[in-house]
Amino acid sequence: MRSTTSSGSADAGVPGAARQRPIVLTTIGTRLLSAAAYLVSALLALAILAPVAVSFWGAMTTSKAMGTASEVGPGWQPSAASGGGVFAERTRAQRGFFTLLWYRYVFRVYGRTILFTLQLAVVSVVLTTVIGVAASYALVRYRFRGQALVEEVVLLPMSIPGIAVAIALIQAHTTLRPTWYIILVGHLLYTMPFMIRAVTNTLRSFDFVALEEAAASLGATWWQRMRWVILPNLKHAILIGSLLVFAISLGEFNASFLLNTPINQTYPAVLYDTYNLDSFQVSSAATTIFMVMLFPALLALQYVGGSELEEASQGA
Amino acid sequence: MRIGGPLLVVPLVAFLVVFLLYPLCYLAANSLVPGGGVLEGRTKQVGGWSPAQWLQTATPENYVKLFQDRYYVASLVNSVLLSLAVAVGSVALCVAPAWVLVRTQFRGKRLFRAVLTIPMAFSGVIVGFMIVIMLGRWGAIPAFLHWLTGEAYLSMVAYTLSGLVIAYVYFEIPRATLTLEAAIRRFDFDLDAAARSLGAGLWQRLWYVLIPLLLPAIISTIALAFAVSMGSFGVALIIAKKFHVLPVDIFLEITGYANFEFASALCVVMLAITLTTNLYLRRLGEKHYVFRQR
Repeated sequence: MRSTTSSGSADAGVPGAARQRPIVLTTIGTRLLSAAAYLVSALLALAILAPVAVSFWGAMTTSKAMGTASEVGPGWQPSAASGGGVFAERTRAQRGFFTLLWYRYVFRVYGRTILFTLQLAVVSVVLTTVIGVAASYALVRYRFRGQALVEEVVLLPMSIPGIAVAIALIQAHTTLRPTWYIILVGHLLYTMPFMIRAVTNTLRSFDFVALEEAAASLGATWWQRMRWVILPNLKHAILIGSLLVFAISLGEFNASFLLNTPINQTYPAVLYDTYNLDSFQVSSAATTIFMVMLFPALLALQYVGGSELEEASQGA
Repeated sequence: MRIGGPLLVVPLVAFLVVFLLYPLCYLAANSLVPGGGVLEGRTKQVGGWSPAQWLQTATPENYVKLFQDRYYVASLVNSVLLSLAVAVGSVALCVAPAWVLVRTQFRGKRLFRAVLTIPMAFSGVIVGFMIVIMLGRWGAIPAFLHWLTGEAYLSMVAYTLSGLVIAYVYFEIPRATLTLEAAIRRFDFDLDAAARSLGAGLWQRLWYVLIPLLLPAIISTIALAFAVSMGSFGVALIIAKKFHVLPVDIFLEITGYANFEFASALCVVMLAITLTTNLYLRRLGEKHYVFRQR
């Protein structure tokens, strides 16, 4: 065990060193490798955080502070800024360094969309929970024909492009096209796999059939067994699944961009609009608002998650 | 028959049949209808055919046009190459954080993991915006380098092919890290110690013990990353200005020409590529299971 014959052994000549501690097999090679792993990890974390920080910064500073072109263009007339409201305020020359103007502007112009997106995410969570938990229970508890096929097809949206699903849905369900239900359908298709995975993984991890039989032998009816035996054991999995569904639904763009109607737009489509049409500051403010909606869900996932999260969110 | 039992799966099956399988079949069928689109003056209502009409008019016209047009073949090749580069690159990068998360304990580990999972729920557009503010014409990095050296290096990288690869890899970090982390956690490190006690060096242990056992996970990560990159068009919509990829072409076909039939054909080709790649890689992964680790 302790023979360190590998390349460049660092602690070969100190037999007493590993007296009490568990044997740690370190050599120069492994040290270098783990140093490289640390470095790459730190760089990745930095690369993830840096753009978040830049857009946070951009969202609260005036055009003047950013040193970019002013919001006030060459055609600006003093009379244009005489009215009230964020629209007029936007065209006024900006003097200070920090401002909340961009946030106010985004809320004023796109506030309805933010509410719609949150509503969509909540409805997705509810529906995936109801449909997903029932289906997961049936998939794990019983054997029936076509079972493997159902499991494959549920996970199918993970590996097929959202835009293809969107175009298929638009063409096949023309009557749903003008409504927001079609956006909901797209979100359900792309979030269902996460709920099903979280719940089936938990169901497969313990012998719930034995628990159920024990409850049945004590005279519990089907509903009582569900209510007092199965569901309490699934609470954690449902929580993880719901958080994943919420987060994915908030950020879903590939499928919902083509499913959106002019009246009902999801927030990522608004982000696309601001990136194309508006200034860096307004885009940053819109992005920051999105992250503020998203981060609580992600943090909560980490704190309730653990190893189940890895299993459930593979291929997110 | 009582409620419950296998019937609980019925709502899910109904949902999948109505909203996934039927639309996909419709897509495939519609791709065989002669192309409409405003350019050819043949606009018609979407879905305006009956099965009998379809049987009479079905032709592979759209596919012939697609594979004869160098523009579409080029974007097909672009998409596949880009996705391959992204899949391989993200796995190579994300082994490091996965390893760190499994093998070390430190304070703030959960926070570190939370940071790594941030891009998971980002839509492609956000990643596109982020790469523009970091590496665009006057992004944060060129501006910093300008302050440091007086020369704005790395300016405009966002709009090149490497910018596209960076953005897609950014997008893949959480997925790749979590999959690889789960695999490394299942790896039995006694095997490593055993190999070592038999005198295997570092590289030998990596090459003959660790990598073969992680290969299924690596392959499935590559498969997922490939599928996601093939389909993610938010990033490309923002930054692929000189470079065209398939999802953006499909999008333009719909919004620009309302040519649903041709767009359907493009979608079917894209689906065929992602699904066969996925299936093939999954087979490959199963073949490389040296033995099941549990």
